[in-house]
Amino acid sequence: MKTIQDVLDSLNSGNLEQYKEVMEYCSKRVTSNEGIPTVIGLDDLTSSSNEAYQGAKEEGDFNLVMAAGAMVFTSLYEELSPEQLGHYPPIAPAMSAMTEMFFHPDADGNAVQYREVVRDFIKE
Amino acid sequence: MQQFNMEAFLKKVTKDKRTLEMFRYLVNKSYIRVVNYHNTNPVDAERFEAEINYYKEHFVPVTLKDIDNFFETKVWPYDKPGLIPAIFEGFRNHYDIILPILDKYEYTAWFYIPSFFMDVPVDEQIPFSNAHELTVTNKEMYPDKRVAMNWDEIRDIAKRHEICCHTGSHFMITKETSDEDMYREIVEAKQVLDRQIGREVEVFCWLYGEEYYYNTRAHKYLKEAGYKYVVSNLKLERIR
Repeated sequence: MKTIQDVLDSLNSGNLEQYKEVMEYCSKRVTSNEGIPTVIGLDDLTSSSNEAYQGAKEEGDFNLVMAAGAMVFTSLYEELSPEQLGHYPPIAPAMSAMTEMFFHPDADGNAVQYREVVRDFIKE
Repeated sequence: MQQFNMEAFLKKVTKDKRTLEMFRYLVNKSYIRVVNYHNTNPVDAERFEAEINYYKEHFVPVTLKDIDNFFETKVWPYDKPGLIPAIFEGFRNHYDIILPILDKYEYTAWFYIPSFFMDVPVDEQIPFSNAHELTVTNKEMYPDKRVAMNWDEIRDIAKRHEICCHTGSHFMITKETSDEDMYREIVEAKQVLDRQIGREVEVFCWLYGEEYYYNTRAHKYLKEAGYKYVVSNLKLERIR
């Protein structure tokens, strides 16, 4: 997936299996020993301005893919119980799952998953 | 294959204001990638090296100065996005295993230190870690039983990486936390770190996803201590 439209198309087609597979993968990571990727917001509470920021050039519009992806994951984590979520809000695991699936764009703009980074070390 | 229901989808993602806030950060390009690490055991060293090597190729390291500048100019000045390896808990294996890898690739990490852990007598460090949810996954690694970094090691790290305060005793601060506990875990924890590394620590990090607006009683102590940034598992907030 490389555009926000690709994410919306996956929603419209009802094909959420790839998201659920990433959630399953994330649930098996050993957080005490492994690097766990996520994205956090940057907020300047000293400023009243709501201006948009200018991101890294190589990122292009990939932030929109990430934004849509985060919402898809949130909708799926919403279906879990508070106990299953460890009492975190659904957006918390959703941001980590989103980062796992949409870690960064490759040279053609396609999403690279984080598991590509550690592919030689994943235990089946 | 299930039929997509836009109404149900929108209801789910607008239930919690934090979700919409994250959506806004992503759309507004006001975000940063973080990879969270806890134990860095020798058995995983090869994987850590592959990760840091990958970050070096595809991202740029991030210093506090970069964050200051980003907030001032609203422009990320590099072609590549930033990524922060966030190293939690002040474990000794950070110094021995992941630090040499970070230094080899000249990649800046942010170390989140529960500042009272370092002063726990060596014999008591494993019981202390058990009691404070500082999960040590390889207790046999060090025969002398010192599992926390010492201050010399932290001072060495502070020369080329960011040091952040992760409370004093890995303490979960809630709305119900007493004033005395808040003062100790927010203000005194910073004073210990400042004194030991010889410069001001600007970042405070909650445990378990707390956020600045959620705990207004803690504002007084965060300001009194002099922190500039507060980090949760969803965001980094500039407060002064």
